[in-house]
Amino acid sequence: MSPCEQWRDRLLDGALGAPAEPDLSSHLASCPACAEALAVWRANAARLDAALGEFAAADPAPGAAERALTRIGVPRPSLPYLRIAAGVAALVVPALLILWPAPRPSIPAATTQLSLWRSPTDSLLRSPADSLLREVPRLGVAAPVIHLNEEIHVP
Amino acid sequence: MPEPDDSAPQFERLLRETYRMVYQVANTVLANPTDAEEVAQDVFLRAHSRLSELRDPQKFRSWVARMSWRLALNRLRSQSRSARRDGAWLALQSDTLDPEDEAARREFAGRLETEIDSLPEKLRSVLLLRAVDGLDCADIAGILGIPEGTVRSRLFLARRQLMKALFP
Repeated sequence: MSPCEQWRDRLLDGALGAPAEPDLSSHLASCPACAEALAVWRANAARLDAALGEFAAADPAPGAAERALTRIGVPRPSLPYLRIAAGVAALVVPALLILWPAPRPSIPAATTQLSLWRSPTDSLLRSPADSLLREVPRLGVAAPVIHLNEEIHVP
Repeated sequence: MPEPDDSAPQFERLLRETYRMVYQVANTVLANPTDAEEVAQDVFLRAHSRLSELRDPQKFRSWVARMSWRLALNRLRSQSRSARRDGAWLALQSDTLDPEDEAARREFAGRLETEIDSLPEKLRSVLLLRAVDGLDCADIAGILGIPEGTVRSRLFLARRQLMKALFP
């Protein structure tokens, strides 16, 4: 059904949010075609507004504000803070490196065991005259007697 | 208002807060991202050198918006008739993953953009400025130098014309 031609524009205005005047309201109450047309236009207006709402004005390219600041030559407030931070870091980092105890290299357990290991033949290499080599002979003291057939004990 | 050099941190903050809006205002006129960025830079260059003229810092936003509009118009007039518009007024946001819905939305958006392009300049300006993030009818009235009621009536007429074109 088509709406009444003489009401067409006012129906469209009503769909777009214009306040309905009394004569239009009374006509709608008695004309199903116009009431239906108004409902359709209201739905279309909602679709149009939704589409306009989904549009967003295009965003500027990344870094555009930075480029503007650079071109203007505005002194950046962040720079003094950066300089201070760099100065503090230059003092603190070397101090920490000096004062902080360097971690000792950990020695693997296998290496420790290896350093403690003694060959079972070490005792075989000992001479029965070892005591003579360790002690300084003194005048008037008898030299110890070495028994060449002494048993050699192997631990 | 302090001298510009003394108010550098404040100016940087104001620039960051308003840059997007200034760029978008220029882009509604020029429809060209490169030109719009150049205009935005010019706006802040002028604003920085004339900061002492701004008595009320609260009006910085509307001040640079008007400046952006005027500089963009000047730039458009200085261009040749084959203006370098690339139609990049608007960017369609997408939040649906359904390909059919997405295709229908894009098709409708394409028709809508064509119809916006064919609107009279006065109506198109108001409609596009209304799409700029954060601008209300009072802001637009300030930018265009027209009463707020005129902004509302032009906005209504623009929607009316679009309705007739898109839903005959």
